[in-house]
Amino acid sequence: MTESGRTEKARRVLGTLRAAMSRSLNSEGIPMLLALVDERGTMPVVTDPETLAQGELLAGRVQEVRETLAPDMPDRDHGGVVRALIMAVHELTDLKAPDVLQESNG
Amino acid sequence: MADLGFTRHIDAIRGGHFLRVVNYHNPPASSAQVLRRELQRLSEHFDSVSLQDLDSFFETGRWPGTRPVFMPVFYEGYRNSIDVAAPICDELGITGWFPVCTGFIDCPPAQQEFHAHAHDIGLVDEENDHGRLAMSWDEVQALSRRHVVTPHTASHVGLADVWNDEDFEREIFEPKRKMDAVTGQLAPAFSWLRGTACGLSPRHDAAIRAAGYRYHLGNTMIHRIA
Repeated sequence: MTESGRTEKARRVLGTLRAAMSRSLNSEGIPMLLALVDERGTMPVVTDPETLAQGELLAGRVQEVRETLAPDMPDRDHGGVVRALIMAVHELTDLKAPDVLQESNG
Repeated sequence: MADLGFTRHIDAIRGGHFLRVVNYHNPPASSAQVLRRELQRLSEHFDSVSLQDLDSFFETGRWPGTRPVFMPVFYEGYRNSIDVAAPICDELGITGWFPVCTGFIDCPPAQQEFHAHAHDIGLVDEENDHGRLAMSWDEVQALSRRHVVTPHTASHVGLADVWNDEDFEREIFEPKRKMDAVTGQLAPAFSWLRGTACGLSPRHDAAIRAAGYRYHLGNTMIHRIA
């Protein structure tokens, strides 16, 4: 535990958050992870093992961000959801962020 | 009220119902090398998603290839989408998605700088004196032959800005009619300023469906709506 009361893991995840938020909206790409939902009914079941493995990895990253940085945040806090989804795919661009989330999920 | 919380997203993603996206807005000519490098790196690991791929996934749960997929999105309808982004996408064999504000395209070039500032359309200093800032309708037509071009409202407005019948017509219905007429295709998707999701206003959702869109692009979800 550090002086700020944050664990080393929380400090590393915060590093990803800060790097992700430093992107220039105008001139740089902002990576994002989107859920695919069908408002007409249910989604078809995905059976491809690789897609499911990636889904497990990415879902784990979102879950880890929430548990590490915002365990008291309400489930419906959409601002929190947005930030966690951005962080889950931070490696898509040259963010130069520490690959903190790979460590526990990858 | 739609559930837009952590759990719904996590469950969808864990079930394989997810898509990696990179959102671009206004990459000017000076950033072309950075953009090319970024898209090159992405294309080495991911296949870009075409409209047919997305339609197929919502029917079958499968992507067409063996590699993971991603969607590069270039917002607003900037001229640099034509001059900078599209040529790089073409060079790399990437399908780009271009949600455009049709009012920006309709605006006379001499008024586009003011229009942009008045409608939350960000500008970069290096393009201040370039004259036309938005793509033209002829460029929309050409772009639609290789990429996905679709309305992002007319005036770059959010859901809360659209109240009366005139607003609905101007921001939801007319942009699709204009775009369909120019491209000869059916514009597939609608998105609000700031990516407001489907499920927050029945009246607005019904209008988007009635206009003929089949996807609602939110900032954390792609909703298949028709």
